[in-house]
Amino acid sequence: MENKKKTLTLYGSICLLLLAVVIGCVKMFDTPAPERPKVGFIMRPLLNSSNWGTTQYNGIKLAADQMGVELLVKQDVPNNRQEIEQAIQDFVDAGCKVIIMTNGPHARLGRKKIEANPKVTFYCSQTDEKLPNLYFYSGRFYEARYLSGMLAAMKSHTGRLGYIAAMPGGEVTRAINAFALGAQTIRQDAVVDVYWTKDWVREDEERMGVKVLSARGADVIAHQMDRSTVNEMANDMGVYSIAYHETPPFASSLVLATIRIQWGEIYQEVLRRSFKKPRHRDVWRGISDGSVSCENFSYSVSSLEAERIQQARIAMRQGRKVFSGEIIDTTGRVRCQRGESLSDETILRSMNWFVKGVITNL
Amino acid sequence: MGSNFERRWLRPAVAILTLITVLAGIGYVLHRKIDELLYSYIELQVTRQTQILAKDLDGRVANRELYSLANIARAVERVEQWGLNEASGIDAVRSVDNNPSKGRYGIIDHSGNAVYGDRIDADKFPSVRQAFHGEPAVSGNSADGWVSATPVMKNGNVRYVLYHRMPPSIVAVDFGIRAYEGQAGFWVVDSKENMMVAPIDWDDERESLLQMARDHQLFRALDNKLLRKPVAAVWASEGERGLFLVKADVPSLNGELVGLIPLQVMMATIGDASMLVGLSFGFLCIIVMVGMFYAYTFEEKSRQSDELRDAIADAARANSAKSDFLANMSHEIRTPINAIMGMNEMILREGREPVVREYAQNIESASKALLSLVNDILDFSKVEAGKMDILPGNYRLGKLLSEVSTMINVKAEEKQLNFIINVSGDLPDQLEGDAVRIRQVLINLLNNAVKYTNEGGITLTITGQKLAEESDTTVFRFAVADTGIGIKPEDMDKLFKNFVRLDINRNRSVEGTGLGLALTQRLAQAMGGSVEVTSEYGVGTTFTFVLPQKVVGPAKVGNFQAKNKEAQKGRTDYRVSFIAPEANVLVVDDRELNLMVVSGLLKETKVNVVTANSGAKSLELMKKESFDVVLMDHMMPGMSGIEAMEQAREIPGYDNIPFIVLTANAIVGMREMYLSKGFVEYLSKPIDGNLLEDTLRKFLPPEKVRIISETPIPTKAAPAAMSLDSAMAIAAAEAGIEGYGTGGVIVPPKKPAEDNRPATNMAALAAGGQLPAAGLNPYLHGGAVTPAAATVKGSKPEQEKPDDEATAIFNAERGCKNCGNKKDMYNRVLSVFCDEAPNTKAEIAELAEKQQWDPFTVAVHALKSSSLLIGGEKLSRLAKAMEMAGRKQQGLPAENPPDDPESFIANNVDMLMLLYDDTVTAARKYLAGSK
Repeated sequence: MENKKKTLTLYGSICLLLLAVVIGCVKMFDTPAPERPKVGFIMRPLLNSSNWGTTQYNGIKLAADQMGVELLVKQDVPNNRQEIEQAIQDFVDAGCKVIIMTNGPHARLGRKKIEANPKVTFYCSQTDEKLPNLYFYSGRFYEARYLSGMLAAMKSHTGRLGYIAAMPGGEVTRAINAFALGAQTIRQDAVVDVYWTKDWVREDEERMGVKVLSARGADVIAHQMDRSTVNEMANDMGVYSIAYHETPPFASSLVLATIRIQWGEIYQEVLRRSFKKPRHRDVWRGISDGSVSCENFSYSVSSLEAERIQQARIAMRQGRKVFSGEIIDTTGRVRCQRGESLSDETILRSMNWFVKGVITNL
Repeated sequence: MGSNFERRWLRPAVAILTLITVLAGIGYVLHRKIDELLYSYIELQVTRQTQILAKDLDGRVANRELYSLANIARAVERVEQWGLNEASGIDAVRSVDNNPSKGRYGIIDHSGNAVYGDRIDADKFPSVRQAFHGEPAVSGNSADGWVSATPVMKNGNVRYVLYHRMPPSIVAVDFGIRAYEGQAGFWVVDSKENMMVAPIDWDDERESLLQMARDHQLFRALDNKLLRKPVAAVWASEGERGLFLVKADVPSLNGELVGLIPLQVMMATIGDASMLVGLSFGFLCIIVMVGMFYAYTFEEKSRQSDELRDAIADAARANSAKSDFLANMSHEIRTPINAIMGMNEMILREGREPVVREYAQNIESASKALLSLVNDILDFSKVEAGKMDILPGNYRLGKLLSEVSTMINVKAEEKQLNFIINVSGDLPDQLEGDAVRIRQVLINLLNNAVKYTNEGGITLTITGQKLAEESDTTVFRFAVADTGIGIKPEDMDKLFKNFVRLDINRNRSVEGTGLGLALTQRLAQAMGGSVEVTSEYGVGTTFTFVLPQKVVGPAKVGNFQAKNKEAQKGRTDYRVSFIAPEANVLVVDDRELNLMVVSGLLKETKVNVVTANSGAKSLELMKKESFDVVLMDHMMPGMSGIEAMEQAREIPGYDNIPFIVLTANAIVGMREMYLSKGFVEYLSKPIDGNLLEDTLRKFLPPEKVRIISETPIPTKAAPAAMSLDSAMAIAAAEAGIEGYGTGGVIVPPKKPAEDNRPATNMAALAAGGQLPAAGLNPYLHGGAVTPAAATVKGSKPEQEKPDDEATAIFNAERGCKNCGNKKDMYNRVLSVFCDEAPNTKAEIAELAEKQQWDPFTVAVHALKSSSLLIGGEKLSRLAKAMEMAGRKQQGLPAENPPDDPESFIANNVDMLMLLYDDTVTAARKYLAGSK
């Protein structure tokens, strides 16, 4: 009996040994599961601090999941060279092949680091820095602004439109210009009165802006702020307003429309182009792509007015450029002639002027 | 035992099965893995190859459609820039647009109007829109062709879009992709999955493979892979058929190159590798199985041999224990046997009572048998224990053989078997070997032959052959052939086994332990020889003892037969003429000696002999039983033979039974007288054996007589183990001595074939009336007396030899000679004579005193013969004189009778007694000295 047990153990162990050897061999030749690439995301605001941040984060998260990449996030990174450089370095050390910076100045501030890592792909929103491994991404908000401008002009009695923004430059300038141009297709005498809040979140200033602008005669106020404070204020004051990137939490017929961006789509494209490396890496998706929209019209907007907007949208889809035709800036310089359109390049990097009709208050 | 057997097989069977299963599992896994590796290798190759194709396409597109178009656009721009009118720019384009087969050029403004060339549907060709954005692009499909568009700038703004429109045919030709020798299909899709370039090589098979791709959802899998990679491939297969589906980015088209490659194209001969591996593994499995099987069998065998080894060791131990035991016992056993035998010898020497002596003799023979048995056993155990010593020495083959033959002769005699030794004379005589053991072997074989043979005889044939030309060793073959009961073929194997005796039922009466042959064989083997046997059941057996012996001298055995004959001299060439086992014969004679003689003479005939020592007794016997023939002595005290016969005739059934008279009266006319009385025949004493046989044969009922075949038996067959006295009688006859109680009867010496009837002599005698015997001295002459001499009436016999030979009281030499020079026999005869002496003396004395002349004469007549036989010459002479006196007293014819018989007898009785004593004393002395 003991003999039997001994032999059984022997046989059993031989079998197990064989199995282990085979499994080992098999495993050795296993094609390793590809590692998930890492993508770094540098956010200026905190995730939950403002809606802008949340929208951004949700967008990138969605895109990252769909692409099957690992997302590393640094939030609340101030516009501080040291901090930004550190953030970039951290991501590089962590093995990120793609680093996305949501804030325009980030690219400028982190330029040295971007140059130092030529193998890493950098995307920055609303930047005009030019580097071989740095790409621009954004939505063509200006297209939606154009439409909203049309809407505003249609609704305005005074023809004076208000615009509250943080500071000029980049997307803000484009937006204001498009807003003005759109308004001017409805009323040639439409003017855009701009109030600068100096920062992206300045609730008191925002409120002040509304007061000031409406005092000056603006009866439709658009903004480009992180929050919807302006809409709130306007609503309180009984003034039309146009919401930006989020619908205000209160229902109001005074909020004519909302400018919306599908960040998920945009980021998806960003990530796709990061990995697939096509010819054109910049991502600037607009109305035609469905990434940007002016939507959610209130009851105040009549169907006729909505129809007009729709037509303009279709025209845009078909190729009608916002910045085309005759464009004269505030100095009177002809920026674009009839039959011409501004190239993306120009729009992106050379629009440091305002369209005639914009009261810059600078 | 069955379940154990099964259990033994179960374990390894289970083990083997498990191992096979495991191996099979491993094999399967490996096979899968190999396939996996194979496919991923091919996948890699496919992706690389496709990427090259894509890059090539991309380059061509970029060069031709984007760069070159851009150059044209720059040219147009320059024209504009240098202030030339618009027409100049258009002319520039027109100059390029000179080959319609290569496609058309055109210029479009923002409104979609074609400044030059045709309008382009921006929906169909989004590259136009893209160009208006400022990006050169290519768009289109395989049905409508392509449009590549590039912006024409003015002052940094997009003024126009220059396009190049290619019809589908040119697209197909310029950008169609052929690869894998046309066995694969490649096509190009844009970002919206519109087919931009159709595959050049396509067929139904590929169509069905495409369907397979869709069924296996390859496109989805592929797109998943393509999320982050510029190129990827997937594959699917159904049995023999399968495909690879591959996609690679074409950046300049913002689209993808898609390829469908049939599996066989990619696999080519690599697929066989997988099968080869599978086969190899299967083969390996088989080898492992076989190996395991062998390992198990080997293990089994080694286990069995271990068990065997243990068993052998046990057996050896047991065997040696047995041998040691026996060896130790030998001393223990022998001691008491020796004591018994020694004490018995003492009884034999010192005991006087015949009954006690008889008992002691029985003890002697029994203890001799026991001793021989024990010796056999001990010898056997010695051989088994390897302690049998063969002590070689020089010996003579002839002497050994004669010793052996002496011993066996006696035994053969006892069973009435023939025994012949055949030895070729030129066999070497001087040999070196262990004579004792050789003798032991031969005697054992011969004893066996005798034991198991009941009729016929034994032959010992000895032959020899030199081992080699130059060798001094001769290989002898001692063949013991018998006509015994034989050995059954199935028993041959058991022959030499210890303690086995064959055919127990039949051989129950044969003595023996069964050790003999086994021991014999071992002894033979120990001496470098062997024992072989052939046999036919019921016919006979031949044992051959093969023995190589070293020859140490030149002497040859020579004529062994002759030498042996010397030793065996004195035997008659006796040949029994008939046997009659159912015949009953009554022999009547007052002298015991005579009865024994007749019985002995008739033994060979196997006739049933009944004896009676008086007439009255014979009558009683005759009344009880029926006899075929009655042999009646004449001269008997009380009732004579004639009276007995006459009275017997009155017994019912005996009126016709032949009576034959035995008498010592050899007087002429006696025969007629006996015949007239009613005897059918007459035989004179001493009785000639052959004559007796012939006579019996004549008068026994024919149906009871079986004639023996006439072929002579070539053996020196001794007559039946004769009793001493019958031997004496025959010896006496041969020596020419008269029989018993005869007076002048002529006894024909040594010629059994001769039919000499005493009747002729009797007739002569009767005519003559005178016994010529007076002058006859048969002692001296031993020859026949011619009847012619006998017819002379009253004349004295011519032959007369002086009766003055020297006589001795005791002539041993003479006596011995009378016994055929057989010393042993003579000694025995002598001792009987001595033992009988007191009784005979008393008898004669009494008869003489009572003057009973008739019995007296008979007695002294007997004494005369017996004393002469043993060599008591003087006693014989005196006895003869007394006999003559007695005869005269009765008025019977006598030879030289004294004048006054009565007083002669009275005076010489004492003298007779004294002489008798002296003779006996001398005889005894002789006996003591000859011991």
